[in-house]
Amino acid sequence: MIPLLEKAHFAPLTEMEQNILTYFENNLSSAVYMNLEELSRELYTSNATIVRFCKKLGLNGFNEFKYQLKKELSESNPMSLSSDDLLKQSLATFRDNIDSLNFRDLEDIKDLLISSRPLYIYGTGLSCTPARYLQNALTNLDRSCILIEFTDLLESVTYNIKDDAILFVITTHGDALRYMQIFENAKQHGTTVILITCEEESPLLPYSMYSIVTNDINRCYKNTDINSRIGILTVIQILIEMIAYELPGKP
Amino acid sequence: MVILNLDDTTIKNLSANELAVLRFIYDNILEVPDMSIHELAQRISYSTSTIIRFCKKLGFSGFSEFKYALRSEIQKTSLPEEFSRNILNSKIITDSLYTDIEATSHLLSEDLLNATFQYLNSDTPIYLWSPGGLTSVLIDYLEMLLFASGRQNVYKILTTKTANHIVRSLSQDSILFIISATGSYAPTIKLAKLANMNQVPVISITPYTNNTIAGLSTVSFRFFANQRENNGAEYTSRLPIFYTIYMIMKNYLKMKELRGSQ
Repeated sequence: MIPLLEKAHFAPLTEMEQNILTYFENNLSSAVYMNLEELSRELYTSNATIVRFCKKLGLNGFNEFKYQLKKELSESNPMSLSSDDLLKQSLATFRDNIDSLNFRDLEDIKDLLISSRPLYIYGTGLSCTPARYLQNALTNLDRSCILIEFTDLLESVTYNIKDDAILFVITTHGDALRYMQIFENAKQHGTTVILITCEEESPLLPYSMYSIVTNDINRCYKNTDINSRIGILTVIQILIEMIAYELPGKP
Repeated sequence: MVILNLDDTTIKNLSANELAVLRFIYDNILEVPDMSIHELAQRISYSTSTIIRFCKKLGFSGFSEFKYALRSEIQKTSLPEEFSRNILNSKIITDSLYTDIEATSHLLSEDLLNATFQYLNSDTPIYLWSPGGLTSVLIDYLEMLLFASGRQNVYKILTTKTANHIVRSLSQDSILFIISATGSYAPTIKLAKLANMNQVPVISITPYTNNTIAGLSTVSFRFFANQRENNGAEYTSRLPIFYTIYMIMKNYLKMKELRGSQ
């Protein structure tokens, strides 16, 4: 229960003001985002009535009432963050991810990506987003490469892969075992493997010549993968920027 | 490559504005020694005091001394020093990346998010316009995240002709979702106009600059990024747009979880 609304029950309210209170109690999560006009229309009352209601609770006006309500709402449920907090927190996570990157490795990876060796980029499920993004951007930067979005196809490619090939694998999967055969094939053929993941303990790390581990968190919503991979996308963007720097005409 | 007293510590001490000055100077290294401080300030839209502060941080008494050093370094045509060059590049890259994301994040207001959630929470069909190329990767990302978070009735449109056909006959009880990295792609503008004529609400993500699509949108998200292309092949960073989509979906899921627990 929200203390402010509880307190309101003890205030001497008119019938209309009582309606306002009831409305807030029943529609709390949406009502805190309404403006004064919307609310007065919804309640068939005047702005002045609502403001009077707020003043009876000892507040200066409607905005202060909303602010107080939002504050108490987030305090009453510590799991909930206001969207402002969520924005700040996400920005901090984004920064942390950048700060933890090893730029020496990224330089080496960039050099591999701009070499003329055959390049395969793999990502499936939501990881196909960073894979496609990289492949599209590289193409626009005059680097031809091959995008693979299916695990089976990747496996069949690795049976005949050349030793000068580069395999760029993006996976957040906890179940890395399904890639074991692929990574072993690549190793046998002497293929250079670059792994981008967010699994610190991934068993694929020892099989990869270069690996970047981001701070994305594997999350599910109703058993569906909902990991946004924003950390991985950031790494991809940094690589694209590094490659763009190598374009003729740049210092 | 001219080094100019740059080492890791000096670079780390530069503010985002000063880094932008540095970047401009490196991009135009042959022109800068012939510019006056006012010309430079005008070109980069920073004040002359920012430039002077920048020169001082690099250990020069002012802009003139800086120019002198720059000129003599250019004449020496010293060999590139890979290491400090790499530090500089990665610092410039990550700083401008972060600046773009931070600025984009500041534009994500609660009101915009809530206006979007009103549509996401309804059963109203959402049409996603996928114009091809890099922007289509964003649309696919949005589509997957919408489905994964339980939103149904999401339809992707893949070609201009189909899009015009569909939007022309859409009812007002539908939503058109548009992403434009440049804000100036003609087929996308045409589609936004068509939707507007039929009073179909448009949610868009477009650059922070003045653009037609944003003006036609019911809910308009904006992002910061420099427009770039390689002889016609455009590669403007999509990271700020990815970030916007990520924040919309993160807030949306948060809201759903809150509702579920109430």
